[in-house]
Amino acid sequence: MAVRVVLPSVLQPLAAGTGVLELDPAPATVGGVMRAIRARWPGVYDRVITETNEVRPHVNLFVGQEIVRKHQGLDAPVADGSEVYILPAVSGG
Amino acid sequence: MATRSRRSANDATATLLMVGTTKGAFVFRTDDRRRWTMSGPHFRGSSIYAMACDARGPRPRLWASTDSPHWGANLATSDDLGATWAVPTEALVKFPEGSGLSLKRIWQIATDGAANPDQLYCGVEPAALFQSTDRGRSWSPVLGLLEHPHRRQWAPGGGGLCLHTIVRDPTNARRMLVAISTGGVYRTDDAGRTWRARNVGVRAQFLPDKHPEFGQCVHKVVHHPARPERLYLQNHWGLYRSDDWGDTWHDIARDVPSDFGFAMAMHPHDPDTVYILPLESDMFRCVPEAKLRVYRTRDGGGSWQALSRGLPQEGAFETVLRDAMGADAGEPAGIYFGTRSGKLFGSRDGGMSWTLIAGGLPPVVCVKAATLAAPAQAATRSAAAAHRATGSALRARGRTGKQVAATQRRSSGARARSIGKRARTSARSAR
Repeated sequence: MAVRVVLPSVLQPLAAGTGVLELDPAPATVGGVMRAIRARWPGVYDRVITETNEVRPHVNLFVGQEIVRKHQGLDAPVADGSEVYILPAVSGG
Repeated sequence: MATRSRRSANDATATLLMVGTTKGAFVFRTDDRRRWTMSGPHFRGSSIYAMACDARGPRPRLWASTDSPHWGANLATSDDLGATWAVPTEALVKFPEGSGLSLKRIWQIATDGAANPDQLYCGVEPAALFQSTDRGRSWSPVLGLLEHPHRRQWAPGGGGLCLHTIVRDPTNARRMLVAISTGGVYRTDDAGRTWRARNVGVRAQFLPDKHPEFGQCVHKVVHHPARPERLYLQNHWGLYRSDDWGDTWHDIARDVPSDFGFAMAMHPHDPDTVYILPLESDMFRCVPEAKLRVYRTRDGGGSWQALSRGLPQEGAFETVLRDAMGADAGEPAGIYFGTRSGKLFGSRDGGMSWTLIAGGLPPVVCVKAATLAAPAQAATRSAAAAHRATGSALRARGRTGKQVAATQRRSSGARARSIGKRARTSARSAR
């Protein structure tokens, strides 16, 4: 089974225009998802994760409907068939 | 940075104003410094704290630092005077893994002299200096400063812990001076290998020890290439001059309503002429008496005169930040500044009179001026016209695979609207 990563429209040009990234085999954690993204779509990774391996303060990652920042962060588990969402937080402008 | 060759009003030139705001970049262009066209906002929603024009190549290249509140900081380039922009897919300015640092903002972009046409620098937050030796395709930190033993004692000011000023010696490629808020002034004489604090005489009002070796909150340093050893410094309280490349500093705050301020600009042709814009205090960062006045010295800081003709003299609770004032290379010099309330003012007579070039912009944090020669002007005009005519997508012509892309294409907004009528009206009212 794969993990699907859903991108906001602003990041899609950095992934050859696609809005959903398929990662197969499925990484076990959100951190693993981001490392897999780094290998294939480094521009997406750079805009989500800092040099100190933290999620940028105004970006939110969800596994299904659960926001990972409130739980285990990049260590949050990802089950086969999950959808991971990368979304801008309600800030900025 | 403005090209420094002296050009009279009769020469065939174009003047470019690169204006960075907290919500995007704007590019203003004129042939006569009276009627301006504007494009932008480019990079909608991003803060643009640094812009530069690199005029060393066959055609001018504009640089902009983009700082998205969500997606981080990056560097963008334009080879058609801002009609289209290219943003690297991957962030090029990054701290090394294991440094424990991550890039927050790029505060300054500086080119090197004509002798090093591929060399560029940028100053960033957290305070560090990055260098490129391949015209910006790759960047690396200057380790002598990154690993400086003082680093752990530097502290962020109101804007963050930023390296915001880069001053190069046109006569000595191994010498450079940088300014950090708050860390103070540092100079290298060995091409960046070692750096020494150069703050003797500069006070730190906010510390128990008012004259420490380092830790000052320096807001801006300028100099003139014709007299590079003479430096002018606007401090967080304090106005100084050095005649020995920063070894010693002397107070020159006479005849000014306040020695607190951020912005400072060098006259393009005269090493004794400098412009500042004093603010009331650190507790009330607006111009004194709500009168918007630029102060100019023409004798190296021996005296200062207020320049206010055409500027609002009542109810002007304005703030001008450290990089929001610049000068072109015209004759007479053009001086420009932008305010946090989104007004862009310009003078085409060295500051004697001012007009409102644009109002209603987002808060202005960066104003850089460039004077461009006729051939570049014609070429870039054609490029801009072609872009407008086709409404074309950004094409990353001649770029590497890394630099394809540009999510900001939509925002580059090639529309240019004439604001000449407003500028002329403002000019009349200023007379």
